Amino acid sequence: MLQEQFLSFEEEIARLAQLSGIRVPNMAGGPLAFFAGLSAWLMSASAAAKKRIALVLPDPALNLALPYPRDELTLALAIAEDMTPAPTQVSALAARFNLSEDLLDRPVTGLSGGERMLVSLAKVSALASNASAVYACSPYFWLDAKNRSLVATILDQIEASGGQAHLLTLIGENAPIDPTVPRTNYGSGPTLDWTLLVPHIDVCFPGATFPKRQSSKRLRFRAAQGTLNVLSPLLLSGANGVGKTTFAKLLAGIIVPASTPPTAVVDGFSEPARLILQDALVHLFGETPETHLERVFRFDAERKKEAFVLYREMESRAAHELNRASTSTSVGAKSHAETLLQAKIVLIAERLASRVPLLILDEPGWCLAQPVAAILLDATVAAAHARGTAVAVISHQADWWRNMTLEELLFCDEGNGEVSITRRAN
Amino acid sequence: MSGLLNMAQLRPLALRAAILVVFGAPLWGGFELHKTLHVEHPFRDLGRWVAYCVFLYILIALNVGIHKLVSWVAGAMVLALTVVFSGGIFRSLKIWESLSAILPWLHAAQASTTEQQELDLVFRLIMIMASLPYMLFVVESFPAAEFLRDVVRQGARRRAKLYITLAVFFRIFQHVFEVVTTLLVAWREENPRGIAPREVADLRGAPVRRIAMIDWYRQALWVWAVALLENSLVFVPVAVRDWQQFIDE
Repeated sequence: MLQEQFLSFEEEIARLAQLSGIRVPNMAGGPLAFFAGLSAWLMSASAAAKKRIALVLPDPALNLALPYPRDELTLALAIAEDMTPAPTQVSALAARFNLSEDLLDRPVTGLSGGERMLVSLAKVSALASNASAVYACSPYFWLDAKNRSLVATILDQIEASGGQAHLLTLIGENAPIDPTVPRTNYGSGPTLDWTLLVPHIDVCFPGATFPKRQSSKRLRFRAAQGTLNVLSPLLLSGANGVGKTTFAKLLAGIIVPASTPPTAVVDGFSEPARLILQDALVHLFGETPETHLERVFRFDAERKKEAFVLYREMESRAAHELNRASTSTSVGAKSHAETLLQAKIVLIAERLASRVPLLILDEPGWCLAQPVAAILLDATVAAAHARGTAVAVISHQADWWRNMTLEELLFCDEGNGEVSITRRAN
Repeated sequence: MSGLLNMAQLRPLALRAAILVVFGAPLWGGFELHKTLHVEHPFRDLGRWVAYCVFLYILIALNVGIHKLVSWVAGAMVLALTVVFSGGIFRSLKIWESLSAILPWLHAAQASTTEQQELDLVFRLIMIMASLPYMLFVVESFPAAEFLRDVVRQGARRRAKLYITLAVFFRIFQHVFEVVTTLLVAWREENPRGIAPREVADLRGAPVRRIAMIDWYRQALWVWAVALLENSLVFVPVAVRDWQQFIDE
């Protein structure tokens, strides 16, 4: 098995193109960069199909073509075996990837990122017997510790059937590079205490009957204490699909529960939190990082100026830290922001300039090497605390992020949709 | 109400397509439903369109449920009101006729007075309110997986390319709805009020607010269009990559 590690997502994608011919378009560089790369993406994907190359990309949305997991797995098995698989085969395949029967008939868009990545892995596993090669590109970011070993299982499977297995990852993506990174290096800024009000929260995602029948899903968040006095930066951790992102959306006011929503309070100031989702590029709306800031602050010149200053400061700080760590990677071109790291810095600067009590980063390390993610969080926490904004981080890689955060809320599935929230000091 | 009918389960495919074509015939020119104002009987035409719209809504609600129908109607309402308002503005600016010359479907031959032109816009509003939810219903009635399953199940080599082309066609449209859902989450995060920006400090008390907001809507529509296009197109190679393997097998 060929394994390679990279310091930046851009280097990793360039290497994938070199090895497999598959050219993923740049979604962070604005419409021109995207459309310039679109035809190459189309042609290379078609060529990959002819060469029977199976692919796992870091964005699960680029791995799945059908709206329901059951259809996706049925068709993958059908391609491999050239006949319609029995329903039991599909269920057995799903079970191997810790996917429940109920989940197979829920729309892919209703699944958590981790669940979508598990469906992607199950699909590639089905295709493996018929594939000439498998390229797994940063598959670990969405997976919790229990599920990470499934990637190696698939790659062993493809090698056993005579195919080539390639694993491209970012440094520290699978195993923490150094779980004992002292807090004096990263996350060393001043702390900020804040209050999280967690009443009993009930959320119901309605079912549907068309075109397929799917059952409704109910989540009930319960904390032992309704009022939690916590320190920033705070870690929200838990298994795939437990409801961490749903909780973050509740805090941000994106999902409105039937009951009272959770609330973040910093120094008596309370407003819905700002959130950056794991697939952060969706927030850019196809714009370049700079044009995004221009649009968002079009009617607030003062905050626009603050956001741009903040962006430049965070970018310079990240560049300085990368240089100090003697890494070969860079933040990106100063003249024209187009890297994923720059996009993330812009999104963070935008949210901090909008002055909210809490900023939630859902897997801030997605598609970043761990040293770079640490630098990003360090710069974010320093800038946020200076503005009186608390920071919360959602991650599956709790073991490593614990060293970057001061406290942790652990989300556990207690069955029947009940999710317990337990606080612990890091 | 939801689930009493399920058009997506109706077999064979040709029968389903035929029924949907018949139900939608007035939208593509069948039956006695005029698409622009006829001065002789404007209210009779309007009444027919309203009745047809109600019929379509009942049909759709029986299949997809009230909840989904309401979200589709809300989308249609936004589009319809955009058309009506912009139509009103263009007419008052006297550029409607010039636009009609470029886009013939805008031309309402018999609408000569202001009242008739306004009534003609109401026609268009009802037509959009009827047609958009129905279009969405038709697209969702043909799950792409079904075409692909048929290719596998029947070994339909002769029809494989046709079925896969249909699958890609319908799947891309269905994917657009999914992209809208994802983008709505990001949009609500950025703009909690939905139809107004989060940061508006410079607009407070300013008389030019309305004009600036019109341009903000224009910009928002453009941003949405680009984001929808990008996120929809990036998916096409994913579908092609997977499904081409059927043909190559």
